[in-house]
Order: sequence, then C-alpha cells, then structure tokens
Amino acid sequence: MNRIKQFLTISNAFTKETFRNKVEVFFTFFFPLIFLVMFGSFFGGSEEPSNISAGFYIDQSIEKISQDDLHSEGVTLSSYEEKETLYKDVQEGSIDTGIIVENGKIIFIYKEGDISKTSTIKLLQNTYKTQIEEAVNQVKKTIEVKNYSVSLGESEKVSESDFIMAGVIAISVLSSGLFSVISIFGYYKEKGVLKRIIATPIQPMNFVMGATISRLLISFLTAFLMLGLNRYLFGSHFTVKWFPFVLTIVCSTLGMMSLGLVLVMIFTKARTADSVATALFVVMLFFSGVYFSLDLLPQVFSYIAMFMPVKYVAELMRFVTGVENISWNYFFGVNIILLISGIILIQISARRFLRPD
Amino acid sequence: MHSFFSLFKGLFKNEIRDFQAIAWCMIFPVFLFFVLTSIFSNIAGVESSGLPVLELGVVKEEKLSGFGTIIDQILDDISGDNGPYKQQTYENKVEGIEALKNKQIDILFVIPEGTNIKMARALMTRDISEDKITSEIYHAAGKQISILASNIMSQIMQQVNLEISKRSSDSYIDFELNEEIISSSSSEESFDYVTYLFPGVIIMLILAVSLFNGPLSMIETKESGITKKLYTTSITPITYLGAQILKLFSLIFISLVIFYTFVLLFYDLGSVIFNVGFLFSIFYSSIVLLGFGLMIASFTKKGSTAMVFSQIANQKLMFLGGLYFPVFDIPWSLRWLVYALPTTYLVELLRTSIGYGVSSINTAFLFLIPGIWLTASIVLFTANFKKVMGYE
Repeated sequence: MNRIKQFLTISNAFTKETFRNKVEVFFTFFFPLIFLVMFGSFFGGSEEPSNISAGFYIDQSIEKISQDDLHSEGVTLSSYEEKETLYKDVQEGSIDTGIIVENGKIIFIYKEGDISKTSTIKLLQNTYKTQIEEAVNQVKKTIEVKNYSVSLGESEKVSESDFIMAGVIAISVLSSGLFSVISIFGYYKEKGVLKRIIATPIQPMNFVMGATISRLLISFLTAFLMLGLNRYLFGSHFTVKWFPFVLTIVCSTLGMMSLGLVLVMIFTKARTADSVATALFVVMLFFSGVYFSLDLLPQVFSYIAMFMPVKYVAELMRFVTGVENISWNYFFGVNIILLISGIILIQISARRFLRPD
Repeated sequence: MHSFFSLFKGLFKNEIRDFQAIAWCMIFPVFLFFVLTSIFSNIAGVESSGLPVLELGVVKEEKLSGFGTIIDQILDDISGDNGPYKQQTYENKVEGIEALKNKQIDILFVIPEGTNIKMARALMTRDISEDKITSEIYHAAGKQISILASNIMSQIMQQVNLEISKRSSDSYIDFELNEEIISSSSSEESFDYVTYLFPGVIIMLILAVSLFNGPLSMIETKESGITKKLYTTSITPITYLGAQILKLFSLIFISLVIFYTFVLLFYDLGSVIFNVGFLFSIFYSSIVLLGFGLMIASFTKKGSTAMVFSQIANQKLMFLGGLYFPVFDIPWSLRWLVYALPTTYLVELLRTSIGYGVSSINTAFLFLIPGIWLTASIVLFTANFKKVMGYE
C-alpha cells in the first residue's frame, strides 16, 4: 500500500469511527449546539442584553407627561388606567416593571429574582426620572447626547449574542481537538489497538496524520454547522474572512489536540485523562470569557483566563467572523504558537505511542 | 440483610474510588457555586462595588474655558481611581474611535466645537436661547461593559441638564424616586443572589448523582457481566436495586455535607438552609431525580447511549430548569420545555421553601409535576425491570 493510500484509508477509518461513536458525536456536534441554541434564545441577537416590558400609570393631575416622553431602547411601554391592574401584572410577571407617577413621586415596582433584568430596571429608573422631570418642567436641554455604536470588527452590526456565538464555535473546536486525542492515544493504547497498528506496515506518521486530518474535517464540519445554524436561527451578523477562518480552524484544532496530548502523557490512564480533560473543559467554559464578559468580572478572572487556550481561540474566532478586531501580528502569533505546539506534540506522540516496546 | 449491606458497601467503595464520580458530584458543585456567585454577584447590581473602573476617552474639539469648564468639572468629578471612570484625552475623534476599536477605552465622549459659547448663551439667556451642546458618546457594539459605560454617561449628562434647569427656576418640580420591590424573599432582607443560587446548585448536585452515578453505573455493571455473576449468589435483583439506590442516596448525602460545609465556612446564608421545609424539598427532589436516572437506565441498552442521554438531559435540566438564572421569559420556542422539565419545579420548590420563589407557579404544581415525572419514571422502570436489572 503506498503512503498516500495508507494515509487516506486511516483518515477515512477515523472519520467513520468518530461518527459511529455516540459519545464523541455528542460532545463534538451536539454539546456546542445545545449551548448555541440555549444562549442564542436567551440573548436573541439584540444588542441590549435583555428586553424589558414596562407598564406606567400617570396620575391625571399631571398633564404634561405622555407616553411619548418616555423612551428607552429595548423597553416596551404600555399605559395603564388603574394602579391595581399594574400591580397585578407585575406580580404575575406579565410585565417586568411598573412605573407609577403621582404626588411628586415616581415609584418603580418590580419583582426580585431576575438578576439580569434587575440591573436594567435600576438603570431605567434614572432614565425615566430624568425624562419625566424634563417633560414636567419643560427643561431645555443644555447638553444633548447622541449615542453611536462602533463595531469592533468588520461586521457592521454586532450584537452581544454574536460575541457569544463566535466563542461557542471556539468551544466546539476545543472539544473536537481535546477529546479526540485522548480517545486515540489513551483508549486505543489501553485496548491494544495501537499495538496492532504497530504490527502492520503502516508508518507511524501516516497514522498520526490520518487521525489529524480526520479531526480537521470534523472541526470544519462543526464550525460550518454552527455558522449556518447561527445565521439561520439567530440571524447572526458575522462577516467571515474565509482564509483566516480556515487557518484558525486548522491551527486551533492542532493546538487543542496538543493540549489533549499533554494530558495523555501526564495521566497514563485514559479514563483519568478523560476526566481531567472534562474538568478542564468546564473550567474553560466559565473562565474563558465566552459566556460571561471578563470585563465585568473581578480582575482575578482575567488573570486566570490568560492561561486558558480557549480564550485565545475565541479571540481568533471573533476576529475571523468580523465581530472584534485584533492585530494581524497577534492573529498570526497565536496561530503559529497553536500550530507549532500541535505539530511538535503530535510528532512526539507518534514516536512515543507508536513505537514497539 | 448482611448480603445487602455487603453489596452496598462494595458498590459504594467502587463508586467513590472513581475520580469522575467524586469530581462531578462532590467537587464540581463547590467550584460552580464559587464561580457563579463571583460572576453574577458582580453582574447583578450596577451599584455593586465590584464594578470595574470604566475607561473613558474624551475628545475636546475646543479648549474648554469660561462656562465650558463646567463640563471639565463634571468629568473630573466622575473620574479617578475610585471610578466610575478613568479618563484619557485624545486629540481628535478618529484617534479616539481607534482607541475604542483597540479596546483601550470603553467609551468615547466627544465635546464639540462651540461648547464654550453655547454653554454661556444657554446659561445666561436661558429663557430665549435655543442653543444646546450636542455631545457624542461612542460605545463598542455588542460589548456589555461598553454599553453599560455609555448608559451611565448618558444619564450623568441628563442629570447635568436637570441641575442647570433646577438652579435657574424656582418653580422646578423635583420628583422623588422610590422603589417598591415585590419580594420573592419572605424575610425583610434584600434579595441575595448567593441565597438564590444555593438551591440551584443543590439540584445540580442531585442531578449529577442521579444521571451519571445512577444509570451509567448500572449499565456498566450489566455490560461487564457483573450483575449476572451477582445473581448466581444469594443476591436478588431487588437486593441489588436496593443497594444501588442506597448507594446513590449516600453519595447525595455526602455531596450535600461537603457543599453545606463549604457554604457555611465561606458564605453567610444563615439558618434558613436548615429549615425543615427546605430539607424535605431536597429529599423530594432526590427521589424524583433518582427516578429520572432510573428511567434513563430503563430505555438505554449501552453505556455509551446512556452517557449521551444523561449528558443531554443534564444540560437541558440544568440550564432550562432555571437552576442558575431565571428562564421564565425566554422565547416560547424553548419556554414550553422550561414548563415541562421537573427541575424547573423542584428548584422553585426549594427556593419557595426558603422564601426565594421567583415564579408565579402555584405551590401545588411544584409538587404535582415532579410527582408526575416520578410516577412515569417508576412505571417505565418497572415495565423494563428485568431488562434493566440484567436477568432476562
């Protein structure tokens, strides 16, 4: 069998094996997909993190205020004739907050418990107080403020969910690379599959390259699936730079494979390596800034994130999808580090795991 | 009875020797609680002292003098080491926007040319002047911190307008701002995210045991042929099932003790977490979720299939059950699932028992829906009993 045929056969076998392994299919395709659907639904593609429904009751003696005087982005306002109905609707959760304007007071009614909405409602209080006072006192604005949003990347309109979704693609690449090598070099070794491979005329490097190419194919498939679903389901605003995108997927997959290989080398038992990888995966989900913006967290989280490879992959992914900008030097620098670490560790593993005892 | 306890001991030892079992049900809840309280306690309140200092870029298109220095004064007042802003000046708008794009600043505030004269006219000829200063705030699209910084800045400028108006008019009507919070907590204390999260992590802990230690262990034992060997001894399927269930309860108990100890050492939740209603709700949740785990074991043959089912169920039950954040207003495409899952009701039951219920679901339903799940689980498990226990 010539080398190319060998390589193609191995690649084909690994790809088929991946699709036949339910656990791997789940972690590679469905696990990131579950997060994509859940977080996509939570944030819904709007720039504002949450949309608020508010009801207001204005005492009839205050003639100068109308619904038009109250306006805030992301807030749906409805007028109430009776205070009691307003209270009832807040209580039942039909609206997020009620605003009562009477006797020189503005009363904000809301239910405790929704942490994201509470912070928005608190911000809203001052906005409406200002707007009400402006209307009642017919305040002439000395300073007018115009707000503009600036896209940090090439996409013209970027929402908060776009930031998250680009990170979710990074997570799927992490999952694809990390767990596959544990399966190949950990479980295959324990089950004696590698010994049988060594006994055949297959070149160790062909075997490793076959596994890597198969993994790259899976990574591409997952990334395209995510991009498509994201656009179809949540109307994402990605502007994909295709060449850097391909480069990022290749380098990141290799980089994440190298992380898995480090674990396989440290932990001789595949199950332990798997457990540590899963724990690491979960830690990275929280600390990489994919789901929760690191800017809003205590500084210590930013320092921890610096040691999480997925943070860098997420940055690359945001760049290639046009969500956020990074310098080309940084882009190539991170990619080269991921690529070199991947190549070196794959070579070491080929020698270490595919050498006769 | 002796064989029952010997079997239980064996199963239990086997379980706790597995790193994964210990990690997911005993260590992970502690880690998760720490991480989520650190994250959400910060995000939850804009008045939180944990809010980082916001980087403010300022472009003055003319040097401020005379009445224009009022704006300088305001910017100095809101900037400093203690926040909310840390100020940096840029020569022009292009330079400032570049800094915003390079993430050096969170927002850019542009004071336009003609501010000095317009400010003077506006203040001196207030009643007749139509002059106003149109300032600009630029924020990074989609970035939480930048949107927050922009909102706060806009509000500060609105306040400045009101202040100017107030000082120049005796008949200014000032409105008093009040809050009326419909408390989910029955106590007088204000809402505390740590207390809100505590029941969520308890359900997560029970879920980990019920979904991973339960069905996976039973199927693996069956796949490896150990159950068949056990049945050649005096051990009956009922004894084996009993020992498995006792093992799972023991794991839940130990995990709870570890989690409670951590919370008591590092957080101040008071005695509320020891109230009888809360403890009973934990027990009820354990029964329902253990039943759920057994149901998964009853319709999956292979360990790998059970693993996939357990993983999917775990993610859905955790995130759509509202264990960590409220889910009652997500789009209906997913909300129906929220109302169908048992964890939604169980976590709400636990929260209600400590006065932190956030939904308007009737208490009877908090028992009833999980009860229906439990019944369905028992029926399915019983119907497949022989197959699950591996003695067909």
